[in-house]
Amino acid sequence: MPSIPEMPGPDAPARFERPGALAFAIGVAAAAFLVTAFRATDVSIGELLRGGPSALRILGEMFPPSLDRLGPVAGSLLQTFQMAVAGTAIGCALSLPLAILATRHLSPHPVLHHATRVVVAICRTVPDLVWALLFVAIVGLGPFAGVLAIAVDKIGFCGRFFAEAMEEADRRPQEALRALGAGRPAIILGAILPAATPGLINASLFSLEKATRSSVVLGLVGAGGIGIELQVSMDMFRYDEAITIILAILALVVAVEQCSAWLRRRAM
Amino acid sequence: MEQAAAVIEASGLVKELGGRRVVDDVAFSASRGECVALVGANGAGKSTLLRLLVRLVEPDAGSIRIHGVDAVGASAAALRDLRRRTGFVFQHHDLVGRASTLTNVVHGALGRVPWWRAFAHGVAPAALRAEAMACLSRVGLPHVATQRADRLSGGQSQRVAIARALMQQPELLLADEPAASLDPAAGEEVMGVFRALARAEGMTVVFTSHHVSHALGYADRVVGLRAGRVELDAPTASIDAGTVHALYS
Repeated sequence: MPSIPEMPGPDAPARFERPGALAFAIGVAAAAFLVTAFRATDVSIGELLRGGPSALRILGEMFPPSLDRLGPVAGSLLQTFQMAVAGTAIGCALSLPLAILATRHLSPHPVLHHATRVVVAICRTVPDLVWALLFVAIVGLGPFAGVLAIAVDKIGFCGRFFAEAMEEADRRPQEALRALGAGRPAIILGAILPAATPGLINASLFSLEKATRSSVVLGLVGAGGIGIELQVSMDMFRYDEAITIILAILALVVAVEQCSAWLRRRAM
Repeated sequence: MEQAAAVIEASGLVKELGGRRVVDDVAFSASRGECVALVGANGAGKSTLLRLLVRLVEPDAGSIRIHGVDAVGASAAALRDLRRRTGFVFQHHDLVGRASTLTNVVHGALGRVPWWRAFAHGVAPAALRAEAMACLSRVGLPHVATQRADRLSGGQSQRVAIARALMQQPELLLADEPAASLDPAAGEEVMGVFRALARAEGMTVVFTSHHVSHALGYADRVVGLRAGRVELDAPTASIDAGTVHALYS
């Protein structure tokens, strides 16, 4: 077998590339901002360590969990889940027509397509807590404000993902229906929605999971649900009640996630 | 012998794609009950010509008359009506995979009934469902009505696509390489259905194919394309396999 003659190879390239002037300046600016961010927000390992005894005291007071207010807590938890379900249902229902308008090849006009995309983006970009504050001001304290906040937030989430699912739907059955004289509504209902169904179900179930988590927080601004119970317990230093509420929330969120995962597997 | 009236008639058809003339001054016609094979090498313009005929691709020039109606100048509504009367079977059948077989066949009526009565078999009136079952029976598949379309074999899917086209009650059936994705037995089966439709029911059938045996075995006339132009237009009885093979050289 012929052997390959040993020859010195060319020099290996430098281990690191020297950054350009602009990249170097951006790097320095980012590092400087990070340092100011730590200083401005009082980030301190010392403070954290000094809080250790308080953390241990609170943890000690949490156990055993208090079951005194189990009834009202269960009622508030149910209301939280009901808010999540109602808000998600309204949000998903409104998302469907918006998603059709936001889908490039389904929208009747490019202006309508872009305008719908902007509306959906606004719903998504503004945090649900801000929507809740707004709706509390409009419809008053209570779960209805929470339902509206969740619905608007879901329009932002589902509107985008429904539109993506419809854009990704196989175009060939759509062309087949067009070739036999079907109009736009027939193509949407007959070819696009069946193809996009797994994506629609996926997005809806993720919405419900997200809504269940966020509906807990919405209570803190007066939009109903279990959040207000948690806030009262914390304000009154009833950590044994607070841990009961936290565990109840955890159980609800885990149960919803498990059901959602099971339903997703069935829908695929 | 009296010349049968042309169901479809095109002349001077031109289509440029990517700076290349894929269909170049093509004249084409087919009469009632005639089965015509369009043959030619890859890129010869067969599929584009078929799509031009029902304006799934817009022609750059030329005229098309289907059932005596000007298809090029047709309004959106008139074009939908022409398409309704013209069945189109695609190479990959293009069924809605997650819908049932029966729903896919019912879709064939979408051009002639309001959309809310035919977008799924569950919303279709009893008469339409019965008609769809009859179409499935014509292609020998009534037993798969409730199966999801994406669970069917390739041959079954193509026959369901034909049933969907039959549901249109078409007078003209266009098929773009209907046997290309099928095994030989399934391909023969599908071609047999086309021949039966032309011979027994007087339907005009135009299909493209790479199989010389299909063109010579099932068509009454062979139209051969090369580089977008018609090179051959002759009754099947007057040509042999060598004549068709020459189009691929």
